[in-house]
Amino acid sequence: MSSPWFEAFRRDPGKAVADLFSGCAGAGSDLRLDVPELLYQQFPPNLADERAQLDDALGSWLSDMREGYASQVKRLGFSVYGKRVGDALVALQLLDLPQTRDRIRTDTGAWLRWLSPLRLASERDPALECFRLLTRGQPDARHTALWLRLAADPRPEYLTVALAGLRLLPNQDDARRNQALMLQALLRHAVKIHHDAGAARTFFNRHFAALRGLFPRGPQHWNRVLDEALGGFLECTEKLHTDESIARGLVDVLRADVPTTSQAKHGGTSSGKARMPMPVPQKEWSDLKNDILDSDHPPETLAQRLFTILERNHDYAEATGVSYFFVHTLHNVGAELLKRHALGSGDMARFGVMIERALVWEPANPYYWMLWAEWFRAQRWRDAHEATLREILRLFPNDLHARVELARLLIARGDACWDEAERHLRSVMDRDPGNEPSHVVMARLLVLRHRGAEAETVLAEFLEQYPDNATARESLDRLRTRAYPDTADPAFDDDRRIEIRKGVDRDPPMPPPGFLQELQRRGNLAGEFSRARITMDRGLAAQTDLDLIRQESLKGDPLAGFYSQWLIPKETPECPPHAWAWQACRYWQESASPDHWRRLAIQFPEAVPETEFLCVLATPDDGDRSGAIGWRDRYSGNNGASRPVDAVMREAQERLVGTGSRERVDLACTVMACAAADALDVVRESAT
Amino acid sequence: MTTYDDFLRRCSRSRDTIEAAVADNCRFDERAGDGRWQRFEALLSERIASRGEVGWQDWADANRLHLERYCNVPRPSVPDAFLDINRSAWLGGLSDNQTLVRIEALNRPLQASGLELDRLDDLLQQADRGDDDAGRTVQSFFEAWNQRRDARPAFAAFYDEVQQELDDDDWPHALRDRLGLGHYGHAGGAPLPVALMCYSLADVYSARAQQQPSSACALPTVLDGGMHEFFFPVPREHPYGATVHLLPGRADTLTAEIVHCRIDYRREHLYRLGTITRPHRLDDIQLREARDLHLLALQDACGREDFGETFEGRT
Repeated sequence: MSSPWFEAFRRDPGKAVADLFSGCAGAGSDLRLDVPELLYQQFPPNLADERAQLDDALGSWLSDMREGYASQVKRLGFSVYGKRVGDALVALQLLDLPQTRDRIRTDTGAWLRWLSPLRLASERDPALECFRLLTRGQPDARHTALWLRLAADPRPEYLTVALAGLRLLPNQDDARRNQALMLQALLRHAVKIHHDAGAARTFFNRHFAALRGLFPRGPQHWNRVLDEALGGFLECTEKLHTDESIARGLVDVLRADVPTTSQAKHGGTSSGKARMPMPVPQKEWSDLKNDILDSDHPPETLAQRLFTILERNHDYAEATGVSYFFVHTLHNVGAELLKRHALGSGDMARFGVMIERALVWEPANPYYWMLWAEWFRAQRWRDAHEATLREILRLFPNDLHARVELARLLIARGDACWDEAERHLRSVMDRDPGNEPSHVVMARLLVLRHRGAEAETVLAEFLEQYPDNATARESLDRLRTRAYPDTADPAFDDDRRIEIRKGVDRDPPMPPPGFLQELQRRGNLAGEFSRARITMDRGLAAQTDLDLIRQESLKGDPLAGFYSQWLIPKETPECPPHAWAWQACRYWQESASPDHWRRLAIQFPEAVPETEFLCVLATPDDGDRSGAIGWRDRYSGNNGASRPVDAVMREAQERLVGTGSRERVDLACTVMACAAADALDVVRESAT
Repeated sequence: MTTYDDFLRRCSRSRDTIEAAVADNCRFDERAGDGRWQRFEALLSERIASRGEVGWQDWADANRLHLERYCNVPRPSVPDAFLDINRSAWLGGLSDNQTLVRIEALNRPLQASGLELDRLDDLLQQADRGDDDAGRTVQSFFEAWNQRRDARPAFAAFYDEVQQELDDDDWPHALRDRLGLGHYGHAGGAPLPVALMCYSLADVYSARAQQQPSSACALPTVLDGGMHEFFFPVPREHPYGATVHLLPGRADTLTAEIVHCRIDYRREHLYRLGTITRPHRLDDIQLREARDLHLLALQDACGREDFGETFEGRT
């Protein structure tokens, strides 16, 4: 006997699903259940056609909820809105419906941007439910880096999902891969949440035992897997956000716990049919690097050799979680190839995929971001180039090279962008008076703005400090002899003298995957924000040219919401429950008490360091450095950084005390902007 | 509840048994206070603002929204059932050495943990035999499950009152029927893995101390998820809620039920595992008969012949 709701579903699946979530389907015992449990019971596996219809209807319903964000939130409130969205994602999990799941997988970043701010608790976290959904039906190993990153989140429920993701990775009949990766995930989580090796070891051993219960194998097998995991973890340690000494201490005590490890390596039998991939020996890529530097080899041959090495090292990364060999090769060899040889379009495209892969593994590494910007530049995709540079400056605001590059690009864009270019250049000159490119580019900009005398002063003063600088000297001489070009073309101050082809004002068409659209969107948002701040600094209201910020904040986008809150707080919509920077900005503007900041830290356990940083920054110290010292003691010992904001705060820690109010405001803005959105998720559907 | 009396009376005459039963539940409830009804009515008013006339879908829509906003709340929020607004239905003074039971659907936690029911059963047995690794796996299962459970009120019965069903070989269906859990089990539907959870009131009081709601236990009202055909409100004189037995002819068996605040589950709370594979046996007519039988038993138990209204003879 079918229920009335199921009959309604047969007539019109889309309406029935919408009615089910809204309650319009009626009261009654069926609806006493949560929607996922109801659907689970009503759609057994034998109803294949109906399940496919349900899959489609749930996907459409989710899209409608996303499109109708503002009106739905107004009617339902964040709590109910988030619950219903989360329930739909849970239903997709429980029924194992593939179609919507695959759609989400191809554009995960956009979905997470919508879902992440809706978190209310571990059981009401739509983004987490989205991750949980993606653990199922993984077609390949593309999410390996994602699961390992998720494991480094301090929230235990994120570890749970990360372990599920690694457990369900396709493994080519070798479950040992999954086991080793899961152990590595545990190690990453252990050192994230514990500040001493002993506590981390206790945590690890407890969860290690749970894994052994899940995968019944003999002790020799597990010792070998542990040995592999520890080796991989040590290789990754430098890239992690945690104190290296704790990581090393943890590895040492765990190795001491397993005295037979080395014997086990030989004593156990291989548990898998497939052979574990190995990284390419260093000699092979050293030889390639020499050949690249040698310049006599055809670029296509060099590129093929590079890609072969990178593919093998990437296979190794996906199998073991150790990305070092892959990214190191790209860093050491690939960058040289891009710099010294003109690659054909096919090789360039493949090179771009390699950079994207590197960003998947190390999204917090500015080097690969800059390499990406260079790659866009070499392709003459100016919009993408600008967007990348703006995103670099959001994530790595202390990257002076990127700032000068952005200024160059803005100069080339035309006089409407010159105020902003000048601001970036002044910022670099202030921070690093010895920075030659910023002075030379500034001089050129000033000439363009018919402020030749000022340009001459900039170069002359620089040369007083650095009289041996040939580039600045040459520029000054040309300026004085009126030979200085008054063109915005960046080729004139580009030390590599790259030939600029004609007709490059517009980006050539390229099919943009989701993450490139998101990159562009972020770039546009940052552009609006940057220009509005300049306007505000001149004492004018930042009302104009904020279309995208307004539009996106109405959709609950956390980055746009922060920008909006900073610029136009009275016009900014209500902050969703889990948008840290947006909420922190409100506290900052309201001069919130330390109690408020403490509550914020509880609400955002994954953002405790930045919350405490802002609290110290917001609290006048009156010469008392205890807050700043306390923060430094707790967080500055970390080596390396998994999140860009960690690096920003560590670099700025000295400025926690004794800075002027203006600098504090700028620093707070920088930290909030940096943490307002994660680094881009650049996972492609197919990376080959 | 006065504003919508006419609407509810009309619905209670519906030929749709579910609609009539839900309307009855709202009409008969004597425990939910005015404050709680005002919250419900506010949601209903928003829904019908433009038309002014309430319909059955409006009622259902408001019910869903009310449940999601005030009942099935995320942690660390506290549902209305245990807040001052529900003081009239608070239940205090229960001795903490009483054992409670409830059925939990396991499909969600099993899926999240990558376990099948049989595998979980194996692990529990291994753990009970002293296998530490299995014990840790079981512990992880409970941790992951607790991470996904919200703070909604938990309906529970008393162990000693339903022991016969607990000991039944087919306990999932026997207990499902005794506790009136008609939403578990669909004709032709997917089998539902379930767990029988057993814990003491001391565990509940201990959880209350951590969560600090105003009350740990309360009497169930129609606004705690009782707008369905297998719920039946009780006269104010009745000390507890009373489940509707789902076996034909057995609905005069009044089984005490309460709602209590959320507790974190532990291994020792899991008493048995099972699967619900078939629906209850009440058809529409039998359900009306069962509700009448249940009502008569309540009237009799409380000496309240004026309480409620039977289907039989209704015009």
